[in-house]
Amino acid sequence: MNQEQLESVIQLAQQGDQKALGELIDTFAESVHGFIYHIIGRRNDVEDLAQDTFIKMISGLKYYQPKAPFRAWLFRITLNVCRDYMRKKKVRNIVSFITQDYYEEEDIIITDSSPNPEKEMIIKDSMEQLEKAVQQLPYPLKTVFLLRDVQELSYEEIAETLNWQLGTVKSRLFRARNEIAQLLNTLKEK
Amino acid sequence: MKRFVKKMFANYDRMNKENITTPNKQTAEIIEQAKALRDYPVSPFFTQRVLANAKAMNREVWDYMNFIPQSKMRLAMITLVLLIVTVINIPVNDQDTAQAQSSSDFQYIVSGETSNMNLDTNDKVLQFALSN
Repeated sequence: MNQEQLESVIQLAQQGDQKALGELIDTFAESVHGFIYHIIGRRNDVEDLAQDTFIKMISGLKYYQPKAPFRAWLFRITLNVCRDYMRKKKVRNIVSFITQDYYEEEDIIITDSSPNPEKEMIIKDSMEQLEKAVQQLPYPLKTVFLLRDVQELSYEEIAETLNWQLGTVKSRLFRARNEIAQLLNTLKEK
Repeated sequence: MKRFVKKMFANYDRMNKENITTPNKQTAEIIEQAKALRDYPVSPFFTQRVLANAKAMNREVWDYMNFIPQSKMRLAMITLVLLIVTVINIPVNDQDTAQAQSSSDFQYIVSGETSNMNLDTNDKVLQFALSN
């Protein structure tokens, strides 16, 4: 969905059009689910939190200003939902290791067309290591990394989402990438 | 202001030195791999479930009156509820008024006999009783 289409769908959704609301949810469901999963580090409550996020999105849509980037607005809601959840569960600093079933159930992450099991194993391993490294990052660094390198939000959108200065976004992203590189090196050495 | 600008340029120089804007090879690989972390399997009918829940949560109080078929009947129902609330409140108000009346009467009579002495505290009542 391009920007113009997105804007018109948002406009219709603001008027309460159920089809447009459905389209909005369909467009962002996957990335919101993925983002929540990496933030909270566990699969169990991802769907419930995603549902909360979209319900909040629907109820807050009438207050949404079209001038602001929609993705930034949506991810801010998502982050608030995650923060509330973590406050309740007190899992903010718990390092959770990734469950294996994530890859066993879904192979959409590995998009290698050639049937090369050895290569697939290497990719799978490196992805698992990357996930572990992301989970070990401190909360602000993890958030900025996920928003920029996973969700591909622009620096401006991230600054809007997290309410940070542009310079802070850039420097924290730099630190996040560096820490991930260091963590990956440590994991590889093991 | 001058200090702020100086600090800003110093930060910019530092960022350039540290190659913040141009990632190295390993970082570039991480960025490339990270894109794959976006995907997450969404359960079927997720959208429908969200829409149904949102609709249920946004239902207003008046929507619960929908079980009454005709609009005149609904109006009558609301009037009846208001009437019941009013009837329940009336005795409470009467009681309050009666209490207020008796307390002011009592004060008037007493103050008439005791040369305008105000008996609003227990100490004053005790003083009045002892003096008479």
